[in-house]
This record gives sequence, structure tokens and C-alpha cells, in this order.
Amino acid sequence: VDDVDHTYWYLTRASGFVAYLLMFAAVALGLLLTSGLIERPAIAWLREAFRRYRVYDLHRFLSIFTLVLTAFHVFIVLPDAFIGFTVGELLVPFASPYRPLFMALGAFALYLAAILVASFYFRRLVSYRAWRTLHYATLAVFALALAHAAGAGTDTEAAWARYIYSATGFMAFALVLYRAIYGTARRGRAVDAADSFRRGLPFRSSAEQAGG
Amino acid sequence: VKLRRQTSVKGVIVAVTAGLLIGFLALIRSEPRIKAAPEPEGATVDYQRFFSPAGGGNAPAEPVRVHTRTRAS
Repeated sequence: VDDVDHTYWYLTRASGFVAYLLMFAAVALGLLLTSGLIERPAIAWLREAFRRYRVYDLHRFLSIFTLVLTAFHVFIVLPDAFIGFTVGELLVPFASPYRPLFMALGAFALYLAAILVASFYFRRLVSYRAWRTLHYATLAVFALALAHAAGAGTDTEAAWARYIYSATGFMAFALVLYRAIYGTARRGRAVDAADSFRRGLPFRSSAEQAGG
Repeated sequence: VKLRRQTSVKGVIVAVTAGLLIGFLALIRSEPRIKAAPEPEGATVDYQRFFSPAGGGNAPAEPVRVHTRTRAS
């Protein structure tokens, strides 16, 4: 073991954590964008710091950047001489001899994430309802990535890794719950969002538009 | 409506990402979790103790299980 260079193995593990945290940030921003939580008076400072159209731009940037880093996480392990993954074992679900189920979950997350990032560019070609429905798959991507990390990750036995998984999982769940309860209840906001979607613009509420 | 591209914010995100990558790399290198032995049978993660890996105050001490890195084939 000692005579093998493990740099690529360390890199894939480190980049996996960073990609996961970026994905969490992208998901959290998306949920803040659609839940209305960012508009609550108690966190007005946050609203000012991340006005809705800025958040949308950041959300898209984070999503693309996360996908790039995830691709790095996947392919940087290829030069590793010890474990000897092939491209097929990495990209074809259940082809990996190393924990095939959890590796497959990661592959599914990668493919779904790629589709979702692509959807940013063809959203004008589909209906708002279809685009929004597709976007719900983001939550599945996050859940798949969390399961992949916890199940296939070498560092899952480390306390710090478990704290990361637990904290991000809990926060994502809380945001999803908040959005499910409060985010879709306001019809006017949905109409605003649909109107912005048709015009290919980031969503801004009527009040924001009236205020300039 | 003109989108604000926020190049500076994105630059900060890239810089933070690079910092995180270096930080995790240093953390992982400090505890490599590499061993020549084959991976043991069964689950390597005890999900009953997932949220409290250190165990309770009266919990019996478990032998340290080193995660084993195995060859793919």
C-alpha cells in the first residue's frame, strides 16, 4: 500500500466533500428562492444581501460549478493505481465492484444533476409547469448524493464527516418542509413566477418590480 | 431587467471552494484510512451509532475499526 501514490485517492475524497457542500448551498439557495423565507422581515438583512434576482444567478452558477466539481470528483480517481477503477465502473450504475449500490446512487445523482443543469438553458422551450416539476428532482439529487457519500465514503466513519452529513441533511429537510408548508401557498407569487418564466427572466415579485 | 452577473461574488465562491478543497485534503491526509488488509464482510458503517459515533458515557469501548481501502478487483 505504501508504495502507491494515494494523491488521486485523497483528491477524490476531498473534492467529494466540497462538491457535496456546494450542492447543499445550491439547493439551499434554490429553496430560499422559492419558499419566500428570504422575504421574512426577521431576515431583512439577508434579503438585502441576496435580492431575489441575485440569488437566482448565484443558484445557477452554484449548480453549474457543483456539476464541474462533481465531474472532477468522479474522474480524478481514474489515475489512481491502487483501486483501479475504469470509466465504465464509474459511470455505469452497479458496475463498480466497490459498494455497487452506493456507487450507483452517486452515478444516478450525477446524471440527474447534469439534466437539471442543462434545463437552465432550455427552460424557455418547455412549459413552466414542466420545468418546475423537473426541478423538484433537485431534491432527489441531493438525497442521492447524501446516500452515496454516507454509504460509499471512506470518511463516513469519521465524526466530522457525520456531523457534516447530519447538519446539511437536517437543514435541507427543514427548508423543504418550510417550502412545502408556506412556499407554494401564495397564488400571486406563482403567477409572478410563471410570468417571469415566460419572459425568460429571473423571478421578481410584483412588489419588487413596483419598487424598481 | 438586466441580470447582475456578480463576478466578484462568484470569484469569492471559487476561492472559498479552493480553500475548502485544500482544507479537506489536509484533513484527509492527516487520517488516510488506508490499510493493506481486505475489506471486512458486511456493512462498514454502524448506522445504529451514526449520530453518536463516540458513544454514550457508559458505553463499552469498542475496538477501533480502521476503514480498509481495497482494490476494485
